[in-house]
Amino acid sequence: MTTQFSMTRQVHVGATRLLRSLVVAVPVLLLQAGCAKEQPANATNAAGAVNSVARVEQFAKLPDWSGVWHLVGSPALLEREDAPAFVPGTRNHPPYTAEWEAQYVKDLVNAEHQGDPNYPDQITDTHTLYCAAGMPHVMAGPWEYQFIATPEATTIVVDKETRFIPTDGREFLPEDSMWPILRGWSNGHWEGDTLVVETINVKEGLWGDFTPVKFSSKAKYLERIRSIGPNMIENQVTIMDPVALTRPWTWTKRYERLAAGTWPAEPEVCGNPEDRNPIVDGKLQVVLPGDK
Amino acid sequence: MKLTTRKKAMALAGVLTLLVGTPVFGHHSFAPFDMNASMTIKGVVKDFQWNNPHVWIQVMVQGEKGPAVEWSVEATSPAGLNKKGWKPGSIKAGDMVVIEAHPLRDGRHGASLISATLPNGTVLKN
Repeated sequence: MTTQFSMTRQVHVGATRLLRSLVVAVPVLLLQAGCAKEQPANATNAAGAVNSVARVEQFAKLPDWSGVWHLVGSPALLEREDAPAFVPGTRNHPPYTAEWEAQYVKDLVNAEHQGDPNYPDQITDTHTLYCAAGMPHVMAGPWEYQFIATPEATTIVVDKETRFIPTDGREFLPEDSMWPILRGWSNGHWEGDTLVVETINVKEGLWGDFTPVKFSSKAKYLERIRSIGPNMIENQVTIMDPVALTRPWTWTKRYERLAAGTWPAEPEVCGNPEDRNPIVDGKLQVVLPGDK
Repeated sequence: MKLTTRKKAMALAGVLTLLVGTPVFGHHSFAPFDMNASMTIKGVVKDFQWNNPHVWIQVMVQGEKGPAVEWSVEATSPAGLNKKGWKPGSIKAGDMVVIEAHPLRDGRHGASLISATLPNGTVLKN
């Protein structure tokens, strides 16, 4: 039987519970409103807290370049895949100035004699000398690639080499702080779904592929990297070299995504105790047991 | 051991041939070897060095006279061979193998692997 006393008690208990709920809920609502007002557009506030929704939206704008990719087609720098790469005297090669063309022809002859102990003028592939390809060879080699894209930067991993391409709007460093290096200095931005990359200050004299196709340290490399299918990336590379070339030179490479679950290959190393191909006086050696 | 020579009518054959014919590229070219020549090495594996940057197969070849001669056969990287079906245990010391290879230009007992026929008859390529 419900008495007037018990009804009053029930009302009192219910009001107390409601009041307790409000004591908890109101501050939470106020706090959320305050936080929502403070979230900056870049999705991470000054304290480092991430606005998850905004961050997801930033990533959602990027193409899906997950997984491991491999070069498709010729590992030579060619304007067209069907260009006459191997016909004597007509190999498709950069539009060199007369001076650079003369050196190129000389280098081709000397390059044929790599490893020949009886040929004193042999020259050695720079990929061998540096145990690294550098630009532009690194984007045109028969290797595995990973394209790791975040809103702030894209990192391209090729064997043991990496390319760091910021896309956060930064400027290049001052000229005197960017000495020529193998991979050069890259800066990029997105144009829709295309990653546009400018690379400068690449070390001079690197072979552009497995032949002595070289460029000066004043060359600028402009890349347009984009998906051309669910499992294919295209990289259109234009080289502008005011010292070596008479005009810009463009070639395109494609990379195909390997099967899901592919493990990237072990990167090659050089110069370790197990390396039986040391470089001595700029020349590749082959060490056999018993050699001194 | 048998040496045969195949001459190809291709100018600029040395370096550019690598772009056409050689399926696997490491950090250096195979120019110390005569890529236009091939030879057969038949012998007993002394050591199978599954090393980075290059795998090496040391083979003892018994000639018609005198002691056995040790041949060193260079292959591509472990990762490169693995893609062709090789594994660290594909061959071991004591196995009889038949190897096709490009000989060193300087005449030493070294060669660059083309393919190997394992004791069970499997043929694996470089």
